[in-house]
Amino acid sequence: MFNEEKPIFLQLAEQLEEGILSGAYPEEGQVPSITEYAANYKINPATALKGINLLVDRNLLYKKRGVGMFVAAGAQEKLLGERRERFYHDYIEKLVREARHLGLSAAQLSEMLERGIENVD
Amino acid sequence: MKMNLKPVFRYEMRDYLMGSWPFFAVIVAIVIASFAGAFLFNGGEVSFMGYGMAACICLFVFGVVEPRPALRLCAQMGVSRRTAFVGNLISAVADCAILALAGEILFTIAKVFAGSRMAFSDIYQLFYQNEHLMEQLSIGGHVLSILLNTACMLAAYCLGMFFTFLFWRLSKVWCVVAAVAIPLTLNIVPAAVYRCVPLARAARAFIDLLASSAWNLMGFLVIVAAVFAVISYLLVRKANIKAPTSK
Amino acid sequence: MSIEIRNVTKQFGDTLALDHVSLTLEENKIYGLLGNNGAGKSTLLSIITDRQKATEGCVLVDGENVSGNDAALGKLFLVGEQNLFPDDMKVKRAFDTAQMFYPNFDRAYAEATAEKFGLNLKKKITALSTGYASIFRLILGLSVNTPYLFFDEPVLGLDAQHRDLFYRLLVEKYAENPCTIVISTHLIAEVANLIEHTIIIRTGRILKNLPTEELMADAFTVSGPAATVDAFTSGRHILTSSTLGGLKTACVQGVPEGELPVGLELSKINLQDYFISMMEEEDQK
Repeated sequence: MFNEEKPIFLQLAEQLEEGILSGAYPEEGQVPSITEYAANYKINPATALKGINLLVDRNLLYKKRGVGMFVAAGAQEKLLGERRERFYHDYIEKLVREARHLGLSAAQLSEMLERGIENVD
Repeated sequence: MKMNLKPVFRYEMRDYLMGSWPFFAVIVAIVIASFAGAFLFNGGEVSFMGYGMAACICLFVFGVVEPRPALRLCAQMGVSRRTAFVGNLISAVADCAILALAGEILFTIAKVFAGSRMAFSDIYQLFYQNEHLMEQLSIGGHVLSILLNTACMLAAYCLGMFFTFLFWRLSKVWCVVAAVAIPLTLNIVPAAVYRCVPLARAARAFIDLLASSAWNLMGFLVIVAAVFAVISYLLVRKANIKAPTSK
Repeated sequence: MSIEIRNVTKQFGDTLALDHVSLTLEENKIYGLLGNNGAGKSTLLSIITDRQKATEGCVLVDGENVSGNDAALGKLFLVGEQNLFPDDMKVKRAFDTAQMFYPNFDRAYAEATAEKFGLNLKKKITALSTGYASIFRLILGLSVNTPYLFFDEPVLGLDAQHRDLFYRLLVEKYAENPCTIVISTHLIAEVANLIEHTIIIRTGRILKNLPTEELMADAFTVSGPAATVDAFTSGRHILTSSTLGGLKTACVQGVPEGELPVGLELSKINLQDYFISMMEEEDQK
């Protein structure tokens, strides 16, 4: 469920983002409450709140008083944009570094990339 | 400090009454059996004088059995040991009074129906009405009899409570020492008093004093009860309250 | 609103079970009271709830001394390891009794929860299996609604499914009705993400008492080739280390500094591992 690499609240926030991206939590749809998150993962409600608040601060979620937490309109698009921006840093940089570590040439790497684009479904 | 006595009293009172009614049912059965006996065996005489004593033994057993679980339960239920102790004692006093009253009513009724060959009497009649055992008591007599029985039961209860807390606090070795020492003392002290003339005289005078009025005996019994209750409280004041069999 | 434990000492004959323990339990927080067997956890909880008397020191509940104080004691509920109910009492009667003593006892919730766990209300408490005896006490604890709740080894004898259910109910209860909860346990991994504040007790003394997050930020694990790990950790406080072939893993106190050499793997320490390494280090003292 959670690993030890990062604080729990960050992992929870990432899971929520993932849910919004994949459409599991559609825009204007309600997301689980703090209590549900905390009880489900057996984490302190304060931790769950901290994780959810990260998304509220970025205007991905909004609160309806007395009802609960909802996915903001345009949240999916916004997240997608953010992810694309981070793609270079998160994946390409690592990819290149690992390729060097393994002694792969630039040509070999591009070849692999093309193969991947063709074959991975 | 405000004591949260109400729940303790409600809980304990129910417990005492649940324990007392079988006892009383047995007494009623005995009374009915005496009537049946008198009716069947016309020749024999029937007498029953043991109610007060039987009730004392019953209350002694309650004193042994009841206080420890009461203290434990209260510890779990957020009530201090002082409140638990006081609440339990109040319930016991109430139970004594109820049993004394119920007994008095039962035997007053029994006497009304009893013929000449049947005698029903109690501690009060034995000590203070010796010459008029068969007579019905006056209202004042009934009241004194109820109060005396209550005091006797209460003293028996407190004695039982004292033993239960004493053996709770003592280590195994001291339990054995106490078990030997208590009966030994009970044998030696009266013998010593009997041999020592001034002491014997004082004892005689004291007994005469108790015999002269039911109030004196009652007072004495209440003091005995109070002394044992105070000692009992001192014993539990610092006790470690835990389960009877802690693993 | 808080519980203050001031300089509490408990002596049993020659052994010092608690040695001048001072703690504050703040309102609406979940505390983990961690320690090995015999560290003094149960003794401390018994003293807080006035089942045992401290040799020295005192416990204040919202400013009032707990000793002999019904108002203070009524705010506490200890789910202990022991059964303090009378031998012949049935579960249902125990609920009746709890209702009598605790005005906020939620009878409907207790019965619904008993059904979730499959606890038979007609059974005598002493006839329950170890697991169900624990469950019975847990249900009482979850239902009394006191501002302070103490659990002493709450999941003892419970199977995995019931443990899961208990933690879930506890978190739900807490999220909906915050109160101060103290969980004393040596099954640390299960409560690690639950406890906001960690208290570690060892041989009657408080070893650590700080927010779990701070505690966890205070140590890390580094692993990699033994020589590289040694070089990276030299001059640092190493709690424990282990080697498997040429690979070394070290638990290090503090925060990692400087550039991480190639080949080294850095990770957050988990509470249980941190606890174990702390105990091992203490053992060597």
